[in-house]
Amino acid sequence: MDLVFDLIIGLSLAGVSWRIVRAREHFQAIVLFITFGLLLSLAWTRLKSPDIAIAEAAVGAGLAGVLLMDTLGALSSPRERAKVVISLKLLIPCLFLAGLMAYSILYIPEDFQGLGIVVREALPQTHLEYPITAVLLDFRGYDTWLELGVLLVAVLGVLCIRRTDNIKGTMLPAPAEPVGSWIVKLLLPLMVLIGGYLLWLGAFAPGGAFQGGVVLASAGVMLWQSGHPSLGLMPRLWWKILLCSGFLSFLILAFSSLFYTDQLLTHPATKTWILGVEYAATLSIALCLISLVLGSPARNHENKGV
Amino acid sequence: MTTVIIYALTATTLFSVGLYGFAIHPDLIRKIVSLNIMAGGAFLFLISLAYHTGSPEVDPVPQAMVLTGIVVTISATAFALCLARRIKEKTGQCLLEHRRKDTET
Repeated sequence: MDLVFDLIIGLSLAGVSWRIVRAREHFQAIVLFITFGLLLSLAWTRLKSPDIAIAEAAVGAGLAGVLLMDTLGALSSPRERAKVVISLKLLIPCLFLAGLMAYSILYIPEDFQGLGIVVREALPQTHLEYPITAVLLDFRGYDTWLELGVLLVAVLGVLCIRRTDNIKGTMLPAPAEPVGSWIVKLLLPLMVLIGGYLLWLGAFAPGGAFQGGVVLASAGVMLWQSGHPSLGLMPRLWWKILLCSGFLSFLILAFSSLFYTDQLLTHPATKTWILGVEYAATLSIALCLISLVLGSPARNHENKGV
Repeated sequence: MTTVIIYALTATTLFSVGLYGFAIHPDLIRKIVSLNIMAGGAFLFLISLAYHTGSPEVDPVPQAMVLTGIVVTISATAFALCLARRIKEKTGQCLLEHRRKDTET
C-alpha cells in the first residue's frame, strides 16, 4: 500500500514538473509550481523528514509562490503566452543525463551507514534531545551561521537594487483588496502560536529555528497582503537590529568562545547558549524572509518617490 | 529499498526536467522556476540517500543540510526575481536574448 502511495507521489512530481516546463502561460506555470511544492512536502513526510516538510510547505509552496506571483504581476500580463517548443537538441542530452544519474542509483551500497550513529553518540554533549537541531546549531554551526549571512546579503542586495536604505519604506504598499481583517484576526494569533511552539519543540522533537522562523515569516507576509498597518509600526532601528540578530549572535558566540578555548564556535555545556542563538536565528530568519518578500515590489508609484 | 529507488529516480527526473526547462525558456521567470525544480530534485536525492541508511532513523546531517538549502534557495530566488524586475525596468523585456550571437556572425 505504501509502495503504491510512493509511486503515485513520484509519478505526479515528475508529471507536474514536466507540465511546469511545458505550460504556455506563466501564470499556469506558477500555480503548478505551488502544487509541486506541496507534493514535494508530501514526499518529505513519506521519507520521515517532518522538519523539511514544514519548511517546504511554508517556503517552497507559500513564500516562493507569493514572490513569483508578485513579480509576474509587475512584469507582464498574467495571460501572456510563451512559445514552448520541444527542442530535441536539448531534450536528448537531458534524457541522457537522467539515465546516467538513474544508473548511478544502482551503485548505492546496501550497508551504507551515514552519520546517524555518530550524531546519536555525540548528542548527550550538546544537552539537546533532537539530532537535527543539534546538527544545525552545534555540529554544523558554520553552515547555519553562513546561511544566516546569505539571507542578510540577499536582503541587502534587494535593497541595493531598489536603491533605498530604508527598510521600512518597503512596507508601504497595502494592496487594494484586503483579504478581510477577520481572517487576520483568526489566523495571526494561531500562526504566532504555531511558530513559537515549533521553536520550543526544536530542543526535543521535530521543529526548531527554521520551521518556527518560516511560519512567523508567512504570518508577516499575510499581514502585509491584507494591508494591515501593524508591520509598519515597528521602529526602523529594531527592524535593522532584528535582521542582523541571527548572524550577530553566532558572531558573538564565535568570538566569546575564543576566550576559553582555541576553537571557534565551541560553547560551554549549557543549553542557554544554544537556545539564545536559536531564538535570535528564528527572529532573524522570519524578518529576513519578510523583508525579501516586501522588499521586492518595485511598483511604479513607489519608485518615483525613492 | 524500493521506496528509496522510487524517490531517487523521481529526484533525477526532476533535476533533468528542471535543467531542460532552464535551457529552453528565454523568459527569466520561467528560468527561475526551473532552477527551483532542479533544487527540489537535488534535495530529494539527498534525503532519499539519508533515508536509505541502515539505522532505523533518518540520517540527520543531510536533513539539516536540506533545511539550510531551502532557506538559501528562497533567498537566491527572491534576489533573482528582484534582478529580473530591474532588467524589465531597464530593457522593457524580461528575456535572456539567445539570438544575439546569430545576428553578429
